[in-house]
Order: sequence, then structure tokens, then C-alpha cells
Amino acid sequence: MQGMKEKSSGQATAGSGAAAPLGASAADGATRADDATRSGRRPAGMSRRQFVMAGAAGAVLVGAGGLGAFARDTAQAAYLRPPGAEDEAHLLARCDRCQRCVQACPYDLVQPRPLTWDFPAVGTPELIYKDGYCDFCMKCVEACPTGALSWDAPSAANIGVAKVVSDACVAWDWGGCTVCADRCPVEGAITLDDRGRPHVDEVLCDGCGLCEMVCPAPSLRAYDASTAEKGIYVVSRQSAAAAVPGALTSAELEELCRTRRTDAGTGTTAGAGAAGSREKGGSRE
Amino acid sequence: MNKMRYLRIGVALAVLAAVLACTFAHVPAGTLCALCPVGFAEIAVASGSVPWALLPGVLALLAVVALLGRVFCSWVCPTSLTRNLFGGRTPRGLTGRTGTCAGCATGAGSAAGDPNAARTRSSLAAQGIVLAVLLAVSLVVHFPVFCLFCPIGLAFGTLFAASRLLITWQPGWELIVFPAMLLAEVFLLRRWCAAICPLGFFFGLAAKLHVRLPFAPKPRADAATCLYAEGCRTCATVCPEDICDATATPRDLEDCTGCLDCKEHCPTKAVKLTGK
Ligand code: SF4
Ligand code: SF4
Ligand code: SF4
Ligand code: SF4
Ligand code: SF4
Ligand code: SF4
Repeated sequence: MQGMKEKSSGQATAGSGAAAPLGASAADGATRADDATRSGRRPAGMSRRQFVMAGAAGAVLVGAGGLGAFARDTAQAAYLRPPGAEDEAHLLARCDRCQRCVQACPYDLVQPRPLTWDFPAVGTPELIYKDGYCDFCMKCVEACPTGALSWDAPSAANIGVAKVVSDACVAWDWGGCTVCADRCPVEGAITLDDRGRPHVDEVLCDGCGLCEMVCPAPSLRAYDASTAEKGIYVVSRQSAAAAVPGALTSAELEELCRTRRTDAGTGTTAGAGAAGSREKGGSRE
Repeated sequence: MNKMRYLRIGVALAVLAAVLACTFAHVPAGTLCALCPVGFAEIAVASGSVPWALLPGVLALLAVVALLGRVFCSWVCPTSLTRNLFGGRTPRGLTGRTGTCAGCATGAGSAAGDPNAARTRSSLAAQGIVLAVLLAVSLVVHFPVFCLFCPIGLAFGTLFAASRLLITWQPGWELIVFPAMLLAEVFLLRRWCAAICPLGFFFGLAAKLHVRLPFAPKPRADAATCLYAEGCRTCATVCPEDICDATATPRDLEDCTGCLDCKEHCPTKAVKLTGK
């Protein structure tokens, strides 16, 4: 490797030396460098064009790394990750987007992040509770070869926390709906207050997403772009939304659900014991 | 005509299809990234601890290259697939050549010179520079930075964005951006493989071992039937790397990707896969 570098720098000099008197362009110089290779003087070396390309690629990587770090730090995002994700920094450092967790999830909950301004996170796994909920089968954690998802992480037993959306939840204005509280597999995680409105116990809830999946608000309400579709959403425990006590409005949820709390991490283990209190009998949809 | 090229397209598409099938069958086989030496190194420096569970897959891939040559590049890598699919009649090879032997034209009427003397070679030194920079950047910013540009990652990123679209009906910008980046890298940066691809650095090292293994198959022209002395340069002309199998040195064969175009087109079927 070292020897090759020496040879190649010699070659670059030879190339430019030959090209300079002609006042040649960089392309001509590259041709000369190729010619030097042709004459067989530097069999293992680098042509000038290859050197320029490698240098440009290096510069792009430095720029992209800086921009990516800036995007990540300004976005300060806290996505809802599969169980076993320690925190955003750990996941981003270890995930190589091999998609094994995506393939492993029997209910297609784990999906690659789409491309957004926070581009270093693209392709890393997040949970989508549209048509299913997590039963902590841990197949995603088993599948992960990089340690991005691991059994030791606090989120292995506690993915996130459900937040009621006060202007979208049907029980809040019309009353009568108890679907989430009826279906929640963790005893005591959703309780109804004296007006029949659901409240989430932030310690007991383990973020399984069953309530979000079954919430009937979208089919009961006429479509209204100003409110969230569902009346209850699971958010990351590192997000600012998780730090707000009680229910949120749609606008607050939109703004806070992916924003990372400044005291991120302090609340992540609060409900770690909740999985133990899970009812085993909860049937799947 | 071009039987081998269609076969290579078929194999590379089959790999993508198999990964997609695993997704729908919930078999966690993973993408090629689960075997990638660059991803392994990036994660090690970005997170400060070695992802040992990746190592068996990485070593298995490098062992295949050491035994069979850089067959990954020709037969599996989405970069070559893109070239073979959209590269017209003469898609370029690793070294950025068109498969039309630069040295063959210099003969000026008489028998042409040795094509191997005129080849552009892939450069471990250039790829080594890229690898060193990407590891340094990953170390500083704490995420695997090259994966955002890697043609393999872009191809699988597009594939999984499509599968997410089928499942959640949520399209993302990557459905447009990733294929555009992939095409730009393959067709605007024609020397991507020869000068940039850091996987190529590892494969190049393994290929150095390959050309020295006496039992590992390499394309060589059988002197008994080869028409090189009569002026035939067919193998070098069809070879995407401009390698002439009659005169190739081990250094030339390091760039061979085992595409087998030379074997297919040799007029006397003189090209054999032998350990030499
Ligand atoms: S634990 Fe099981 S159900 Fe939950 S996200 Fe992982 S694979 Fe899916
Ligand atoms: S299995 Fe692990 S490394 Fe692979 S995409 Fe999922 S989190 Fe990332
Ligand atoms: S996320 Fe699961 S545990 Fe939490 S409230 Fe909803 S159904 Fe209950
Ligand atoms: S050099 Fe890299 S990008 Fe090119 S074919 Fe090989 S693995 Fe793919
Ligand atoms: S994206 Fe490319 S460099 Fe990154 S792990 Fe995958 S194959 Fe390797
Ligand atoms: S020597 Fe033959 S097998 Fe090797 S790259 Fe050239 S044409 Fe393909």
C-alpha cells in the first residue's frame, strides 16, 4: 500500500511534467498519466484521473459527513424505534440498513425511515402501527447483526408511550368510545376518567401500539386535515411529546412527537418493568 | 450473442428478487450490507466497538472472492447490474473501459500490440484513500457515512422503499433520489469501481490472494488452440477490463471479475478456467 502510494505520486508528477509544456488541460494530463501506465513503468499505480476521482470522492464524503452531522443535530429527532434500540445516537452509529429487522417482523411493523432533511437516518428502522402492533416477539432484535438493536437496551421491554390526542379522540368530545381501554393488553395502562375519557399511565404503558392500531376515530369522524387521524399515538420516550403530561392536541403532537427532549434518557427506563404485567391472553386482530 | 451478459443480469436480478421474497416471507436474510466489509469497518469506528456478529458474513464474502475472484462485482453487485441493463451494447467494466480493447487499435494494419500493456488498471491506492477518508469521517460524525452513497445501499434502499410503499402506502423522496444517485454514480462517474468503491479495496486484496492460489479458477487461453500469434484479440476486445487471456499477468487477472465474456466469445474455445 505504502509502496504503491510512492509509485503513484511519482506517476502523477511524470504526467503533469509531460503535460505542462503543452499548456494541457487536466484531461490531457490524465491521458498522459494513462500513457505512463501503458508504458508499464508503474504497474500497480494510480492514474492521475483515478487520483483526482478518489480525492473528489473523499471531499464529498467529508462534506456529506459534516452536513449529515449538522442535519442530525438540528433535527434532534426521536423516532419510534423497534424494541432494543438504545437511543438515537447508538442506533445511527451501528445500523448499516441491512433491513434484517424489517424482514424479521411478522407484522410488517418495522419499516425503513423515508428520506427527509434528517438524511443520516434514512433507511434505519422505525415502527409503523398502521395495521399491527408489537407483541414483543423480539424477532427484530434477534435478527440484528450489528448490535443496533440489542437485548440490553431499556427499550427492549418498553418501546415508547401512548399519547391521547384530545381533539382527535372520539371519547373527548362525543363520548362513548372505550375501544383502546378495552383492548390494551397491559392492565391499568389505559384508565377512563369520570367522563369516560382515556388516560395513559406513562409508567405501565409499554408502547405496544395496539391502542393506536384499533382506534376507530378515522372511521367515525369525517376527514379533517387539522386533526390527527387517530385519537391515540405511540411516541418515543425520548421525544418531547412523551415529556408532556396527559393528553396532547393534534398540533402539539405534530410538533413534538419527533423532537428529542433535552433531558433525553432520564425517562426511558421509567416503565421498563411494565412488560412483566402484560396480559398473556390478548388476542391479535 | 451476449449469453453471459443476460445470465449475469439474471443472477443479479435473482439476488434482488430473493431479498424481496425474504421480506414478504419474513425471513431475516438481510441485504448484501449484512456481508459488507466496509459497513463492518464503518460501524466499528463510528460506534467505537466491533460488530463481531457481522464478521462471519464478511469473511465468507471475502473467502468467495479469494477462491473465485471478483465474481461479486460481475454477477451480484447492483452497479454491474445497472451497467448491464442500461449501459447499451457495450457496458463499461470496473476499470471504466467500454470492452473495446484500447490497445487493439494501435496495430496500424499489422498484428496489434499486447492489449494487457495498454490496460487501465483498478487502483487499490485510490480506493484506499477513499476508505481512509470514509473511516475518518465516520469516526468523527458517528454514523457510517459511505453507506449514504454506496450504490449497493442505494439499490437496496430503493427496493425497500418500494416494499414500504406496498405495505404502508407512504411514498418517500428516496424512491426518486436513490435511483437518480445510482445512475449518476454508474454513468457519470465511470471509474467508480476502479478508483472509488471501497468494497473494491477489500475485493482487490482478496483478488491478490486469488491469483496466487494454484487451484483457484482463472481464465487462461490454451496455447494449443489460441490464435493470439495469428493476431486474434477477441478476448481482450470483449473483456470489460481489456484483459487478454493469452498474455495476462497475475496483476492483470486481479481485475478479472469472472464475467466469462472471453470464454463465450473465443473463436476456438481456447479460454479455459484453470488454476494455472
Ligand atoms: S418485537 Fe416482534 S412484533 Fe415487535 S417490532 Fe420486533 S419483530 Fe415486530
Ligand atoms: S437489523 Fe440492525 S443493522 Fe440491520 S437495519 Fe435493522 S437495526 Fe439496522
Ligand atoms: S401502547 Fe399498548 S400498552 Fe400502551 S396504552 Fe396502548 S395498548 Fe396499552
Ligand atoms: S467495484 Fe464495488 S461498485 Fe463496482 S462492481 Fe465491485 S462491488 Fe460493485
Ligand atoms: S451500503 Fe454499501 S458500504 Fe454500506 S454496508 Fe451496504 S454495501 Fe457496505
Ligand atoms: S478476463 Fe474474461 S472473465 Fe475476466 S473480466 Fe475479462 S472477459 Fe470477464
